Amino acid sequence: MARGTSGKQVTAILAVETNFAIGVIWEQRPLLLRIKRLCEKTDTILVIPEIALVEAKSSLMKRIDKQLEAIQQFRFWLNDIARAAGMKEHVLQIKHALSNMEAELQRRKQLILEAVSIFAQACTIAPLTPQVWIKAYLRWQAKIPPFKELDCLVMESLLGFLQRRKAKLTMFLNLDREDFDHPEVHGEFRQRKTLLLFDPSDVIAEFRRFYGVM
Amino acid sequence: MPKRKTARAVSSKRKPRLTEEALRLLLAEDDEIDFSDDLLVRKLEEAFDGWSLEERRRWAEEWREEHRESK
Repeated sequence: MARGTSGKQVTAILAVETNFAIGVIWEQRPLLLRIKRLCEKTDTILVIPEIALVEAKSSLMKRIDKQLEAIQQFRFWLNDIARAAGMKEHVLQIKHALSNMEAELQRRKQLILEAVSIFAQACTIAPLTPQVWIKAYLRWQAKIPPFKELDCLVMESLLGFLQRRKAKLTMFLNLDREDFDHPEVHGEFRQRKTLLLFDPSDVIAEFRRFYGVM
Repeated sequence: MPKRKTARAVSSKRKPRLTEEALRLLLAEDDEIDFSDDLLVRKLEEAFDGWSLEERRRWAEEWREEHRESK
C-alpha cells in the first residue's frame, strides 16, 4: 500500500512523474535510485501522480504483451507449417519451447508488477480525482501548457496535492523539459512554492543547500 | 522594551538534522553507492534477469518517443 495523502508536516516533498518511474524501474538509473533512497532516509515524501504510475505500469506491460502476442502469432504459423509440410513432430517440439518462453514471460510480468508495487509503496500517490480530471480536461481543451492530455493530468494532480500538503522544501523533478518548460507551468508551481527542476543533479544540489551540506 | 523572540521562532530556523546514511547519499558519487540491499533493486534484477540494461533503455527510449508523438 502506498503512503497516504494526509499526515504530519514533513520536511520536504519531492514530486516526480512518469519518466522517474520508468527511469527507476525500467532503467535502474543510479542517480534516480540515489534520489529515491535519499527521500527514504530523510523526512521527504516522494509524490507521484496516480496517472503517472498507471502510465509507467502500462508501458512496461505493453512491452511484454508484445512478446506474448508474437509467440501467439508464431503458433499460428507453426500450425500452417505442420499441416502443409507434414512436420508435426518438429512443430510439437517448437511449440513446447514456445510454451516455456510464454511461462517465463508471464513469470517476469508478475515480477515486474511486484516491482512496480514496491516502487509505489515508497511513494505517496497524488490521486486522480474527478476534480483533477475536469481541471486537466479544461486545461487540455484550452491549449494551456503543458498541452498534452496526460501531461495536463500529471500537472493538475500535483497542483491539487501541493495545495493540501506543505513542506519546508518542495520540488518537482520533471524529466520532460520539452513539454513542461513553459513560463505558465513555472508560474503555477511557483505559486505552490515549488521548485520546478529538470535535472536530477539539481535535486541533489537543492537537498545539499537545504541541509547546509556543501 | 522590545519583546524577546520566542524559542519556537528561533527553532524553526534550524537546519533539519541528517542521519549518517543520508549525509553519505548527499556527498557520494553515484557509482559509490551500493544498492544491493535495496528490496526494489533486488526484485528488479530478478525480473529482468537475462534482459540487458541496453535493451531496457532502448525500450524506455521508444516509450519516450511515443510520448513525444502523443497529443
